[in-house]
Formats: sequence, C-alpha cells, structure tokens
Amino acid sequence: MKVTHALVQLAAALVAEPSQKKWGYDLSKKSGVRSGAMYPRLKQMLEKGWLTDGWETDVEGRPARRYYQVTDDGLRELGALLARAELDARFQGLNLGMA
Amino acid sequence: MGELLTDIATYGFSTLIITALLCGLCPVLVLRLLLLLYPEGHERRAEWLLEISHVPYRERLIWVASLIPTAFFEAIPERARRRVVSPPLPPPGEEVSLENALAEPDHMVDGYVRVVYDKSAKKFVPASAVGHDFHWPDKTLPTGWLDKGTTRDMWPDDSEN
Repeated sequence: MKVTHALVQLAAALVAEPSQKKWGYDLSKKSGVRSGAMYPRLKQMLEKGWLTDGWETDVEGRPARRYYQVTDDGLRELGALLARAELDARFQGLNLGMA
Repeated sequence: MGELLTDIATYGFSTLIITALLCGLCPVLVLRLLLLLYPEGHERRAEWLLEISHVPYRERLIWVASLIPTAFFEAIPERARRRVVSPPLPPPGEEVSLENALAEPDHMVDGYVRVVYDKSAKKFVPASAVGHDFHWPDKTLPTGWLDKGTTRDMWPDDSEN
C-alpha cells in the first residue's frame, strides 16, 4: 500500500481510539481526509485484514451506518506505519498524535 | 422573510431555486446517480446513501463531489470484473441439470447441493466439481442451494448477483 498523506492521516485517526467503531463521515472529519480519498484506503485496509466492518443494529430515529473497526493486526500495522511516517520528512507537518 | 424577498428581488427566483437544488437536493440526487454505476447489491450503494444522511447539509456537495472519481475508479472496473466472471444464467424455464451432482452423495447436504453454472457445459454442476472456491452468499456467481427439479424460474433474484 502506497504511503500517502491520506493514508497516514487516516491511520492516525484509526489508532487514536482503536476499540471504538468508526463511521465514514466522523473518520473523514477526524482524519481530515476527503471522502473520495478515504473510502479506497478503507477498502484496502479491509482487504489486508487491518479493519473489520459491519452495519449498525438497533438504531432508532436515524439510518444505520456501516462502521469500521481496527483489528489487532491492523493496530500493529498501522502503528508501524505511523512510526515510519514520524521519521519521514514528507509527513513532518502532520499531527500524528504520537508525541 | 425580508432577506429572502430581498434575495429573490436581487438574484431572481430561478437563481434561488438552482442554489437550493445544488445545496439541498442535488448532492443526494447526484449521489444516487453515481451509485448506479456500481453493480446491484454492491455494498457502496447502501453505505454511501446512508452515510450522506449523517453529513451536514452544507458539506454534502463537497462530500459527494469528492466521491465522483472514486466511484468511477471503483464501480466501472467492478462492473467489468463481474461481467467477466459471472456467466449468463440459463434461459427461463430450463431445468437445472443436477444428475451428476445428485449421483455424488458427497455433494449433498441435507438433500441439497451447492452448485455453480458451468458456462462451457451449459448446466449447473456441483461447485466442488469445478473447483469453485465457494463463498456463501456469493454475489459474483449464480450459485446456490438447489434441489432436483429446480428451474431457472426458481432461481434467486438476478439482482442479487
């Protein structure tokens, strides 16, 4: 997977609260990644087994959404990716939340 | 109300309507059109349509605009892939040929058999017989659980494939 700004920002948002389910719009807001750039990367992460997905159940008064959740493998891989990004000059300006 | 009337007087009613459509209805309409690019049953269709209801109105236009290239790059190859891997279904009314499958008890599970349409043989054959890596439910191939005497009319809805 090509390491881009979008991927690094998305990884940072995903590992920030790994146990929580993440939704498309919220994830886009937290990561600052456009919807069009976010979904293909989420799909790649799903295919690699870094994420699991599902559909909300028991929602009242609003439509159910598809959620994404980081797997143990994903947490390890995304953590490693962020650690590498920390050392990469291309991503110096990003707040990766790994102080 | 006064501001609205002033806006109408300044910009014209048609401008106001177009703006309202673009900012309000249009993103969802555009998204719906965009989702038609995806094959039926594709997860994006439901996902994006439901997700946009959680996107604030003022951000919807940008949200959808950003999805346009993604949809083109995802949906069109997906359609092409499905066209290649998904064989045509037999004509309506044609009886599904399961003699081979039924002759092999190993293929049977509780009286039913998992099948896949063999394009070259032009009939349904046991999934295991053609080495098809079977995933249930499989959205890419006309596969299923069939009983002897099953006809094309009894086949699950095409839209599911």
